[in-house]
Amino acid sequence: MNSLLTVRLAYGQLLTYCGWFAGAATFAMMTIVVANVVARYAFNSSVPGAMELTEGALPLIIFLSLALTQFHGGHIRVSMLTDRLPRTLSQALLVLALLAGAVLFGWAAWAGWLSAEKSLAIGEMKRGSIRYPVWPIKFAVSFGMALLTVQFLIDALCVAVGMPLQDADPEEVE
Amino acid sequence: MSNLVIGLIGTGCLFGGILLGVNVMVVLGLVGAFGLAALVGFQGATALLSTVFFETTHSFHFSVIPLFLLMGFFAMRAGLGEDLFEATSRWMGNLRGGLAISTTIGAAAFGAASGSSVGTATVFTKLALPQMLDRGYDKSLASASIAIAGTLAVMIPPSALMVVYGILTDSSIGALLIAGFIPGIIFAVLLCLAIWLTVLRRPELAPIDSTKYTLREKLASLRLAGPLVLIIFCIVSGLYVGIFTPTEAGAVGAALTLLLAVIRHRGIKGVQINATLLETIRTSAMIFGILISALLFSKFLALSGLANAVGGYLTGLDVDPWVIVVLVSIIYLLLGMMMDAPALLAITLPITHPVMMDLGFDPVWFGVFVVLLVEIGAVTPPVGINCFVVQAASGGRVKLEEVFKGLVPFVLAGFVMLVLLYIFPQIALFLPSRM
Amino acid sequence: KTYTYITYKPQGANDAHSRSLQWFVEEFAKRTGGKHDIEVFWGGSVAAVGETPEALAYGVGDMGDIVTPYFPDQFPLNNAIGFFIPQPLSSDAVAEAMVEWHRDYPQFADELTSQNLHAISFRSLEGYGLLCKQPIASMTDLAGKRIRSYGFAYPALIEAMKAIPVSLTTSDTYEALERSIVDCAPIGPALARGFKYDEVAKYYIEMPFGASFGHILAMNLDSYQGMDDETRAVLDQLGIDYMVEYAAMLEAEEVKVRELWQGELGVTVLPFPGEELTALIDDTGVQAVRAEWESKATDAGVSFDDIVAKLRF
Ligand code: NA
Ligand code: NA
Repeated sequence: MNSLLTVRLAYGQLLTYCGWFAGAATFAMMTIVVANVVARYAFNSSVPGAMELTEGALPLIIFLSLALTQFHGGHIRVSMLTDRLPRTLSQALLVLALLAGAVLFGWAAWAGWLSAEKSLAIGEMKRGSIRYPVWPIKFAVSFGMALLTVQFLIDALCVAVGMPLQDADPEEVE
Repeated sequence: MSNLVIGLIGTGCLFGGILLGVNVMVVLGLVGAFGLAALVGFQGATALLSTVFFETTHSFHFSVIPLFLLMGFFAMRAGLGEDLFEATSRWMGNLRGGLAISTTIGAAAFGAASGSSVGTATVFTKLALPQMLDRGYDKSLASASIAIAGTLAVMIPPSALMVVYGILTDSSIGALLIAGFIPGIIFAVLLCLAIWLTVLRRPELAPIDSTKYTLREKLASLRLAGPLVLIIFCIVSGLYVGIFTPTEAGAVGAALTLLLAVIRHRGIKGVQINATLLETIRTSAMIFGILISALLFSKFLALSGLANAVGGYLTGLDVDPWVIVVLVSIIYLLLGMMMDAPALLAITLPITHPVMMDLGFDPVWFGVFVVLLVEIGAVTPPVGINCFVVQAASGGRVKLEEVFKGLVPFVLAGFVMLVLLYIFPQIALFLPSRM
Repeated sequence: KTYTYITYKPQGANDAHSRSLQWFVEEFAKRTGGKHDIEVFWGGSVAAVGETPEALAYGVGDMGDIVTPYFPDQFPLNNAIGFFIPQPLSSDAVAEAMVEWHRDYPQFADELTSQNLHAISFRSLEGYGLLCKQPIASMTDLAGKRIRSYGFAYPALIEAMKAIPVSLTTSDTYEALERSIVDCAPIGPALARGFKYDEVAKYYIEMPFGASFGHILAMNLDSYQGMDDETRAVLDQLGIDYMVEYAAMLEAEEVKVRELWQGELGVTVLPFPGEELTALIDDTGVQAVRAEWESKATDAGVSFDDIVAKLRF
């Protein structure tokens, strides 16, 4: 049980690194958009590719943070009914719910992988004021969903052996 | 089995799953994906799964959501909430119910820097709830007034939820953001009135505060609100006059609040940029997770023909438009008991938006109306996300039942606001029409 | 059998696109004697623009609109026209060219069949000009102007004009024009009316960009091959007739919009020395875009000389 906790924490550390990357991308996005506004009014010009880069950054921001959100228990669920059930039953339900999450995102990660492979095969490009290949972003989307799948599996295992997951911290809930 | 029946079964599974505690993102996505598989086969469902996640997020429009969230989190770091609460309570504190009223006003003002209802409710729970409880305020009144005040952040621009509506219905996001401004302020006034009437009837709920501030102290407190006035001015006027697009407003707002936070902490270190960014991306991921899963579900609902059937039924009713509006409102209030705002919008708009457009309602007006509806849903039991947040952030000082109990006058104020919006649509449309 | 049709277009758009699709649906039911019909899922409720090819290929819908310029790498051949801006063809001629190429070069159809798709018909867009906030008389007036750009050919062309390309989505362009974030946008009259750009930009410059392509009315290959011969023949003929019907609707729409422009909308239509635009074709950036298509065509085994000749002024 202790080693399971260790695994969960180590995995959480990996997710946090991904989160830092996503956070840095968010900050970069803010900077580019502001720079574009400033360039427009101060120099009557624009930052080349501001829109293309913003578009490309958003999937990275979202999918590299999905699993971290689950790690911190931030995806919204309703517990008023299950809280009133006997402990073993509510525990079993929660394991099933977490496995359901693994099924959905395992499926989506695989589907996303197929789409990324296709994108790589045809050399899909973002074409605008600047150009860049799209397939790395599509692989990142698939990777992010795979990360989430693993997190769901770890959490299901944790609940199954009776380890409490940390409760949702309200500050992380929109 | 007919497609409609599959649609109905899927909808049943959705609500069952939500009640059984499956996380909302998972149950929406899973029912959507398996429902699609039942309608068009496993390969078809896989094809949509392979595209929807990337296509939805690979969007310039959607980038406004993390930017608005970032702005709100920087505003918290900059202590804008504290400053506003301090200023308003110096002016209003001596009134009966004054602290609750000043919380409402402070939250409305803070809402002009934050796009998140839950975020605002959290900040003001931490700031105002201990103060009210220490001074003998009724727990229900104190906590409920904070839970509802959070919703003002969504009415007053910037607002992540208005953006979600704009994206889902392809309406002008700039016009939507501006449209919420006047209704947000009127709603704030209505909430203050609701507090005032409540304590007028039952004075024991809110003892009068005896702390006296000199005029000098009161005036000094106004200076604290100065930075926020700057932010409001930049965002609202920037959108109104057309200096920048909504996405740019989000980025500029985030940069300005970051600047304020740096000034407040006399350096970059105290701002904890790392932690702020992590909070931002986690909240963004949560919103998008629900949004995309809800899209999967709504694709399923559309293909099953259920969405068309319900929409066709509503449009085909031979009744006055206001009856449809009431029906639509009831649908939102009922569903709003079960789920939170972005999911609710994503599930329902494909059905309700075409119906309302057929009836000739203005898309921007409907945006404000529907956002108010789902925000009322954010405080109604059993799933009242703002109430959960207030209860959780109170550190055990109030119970969930107590929060819900105090909400009656505020939900009534919400209904009054809905009626006002229906009778005087200009409340929402005046500013956008002047853009 | 009821076939499904998925489109991003909202039913209420009431433009040539949506009305002609409505016509297509009604004709299909009529011509099959009510034996078959088509149920349309409008407004992207089933698949967004970017999702449509996959959704059609795997049978989420039987038929649908593929907005080809979104997929230059997925359908390079069928995007030929998009790489050659400006080009001399009108809307009708573009549709004709697509039919001709599909007949003469099997690679055009292969590109679709390899992705389990079949082209029923082609919907070319109107001829494009430049809608601006200020009057523009010649190329020198465009120097330093910010021009809305999208897709893969306009950025290079706009740079060749010595103007600044600003990438914007279709829905952002209205606000961007209104607020002078951009000065001009390449567009045709009917679309300018449809997106209401002509409310905020009042000068239409007759720059001969040529007609854009456009949409492929595509069908899932299995659904197509699964049709009985009679129904398939009906559909094939309907695809051809559709282009005529759509062209008429589009033309009527353009005439109507130009009348509105002269009247209540007050949009001034200005001539433009076309040779100043065609001169830009020699620009290295513009040539690079064209060379990119030619290399893609070579990869697909198409000898493209005749195709390129058709797109030359
Ligand atoms: Na706000
Ligand atoms: Na609720």
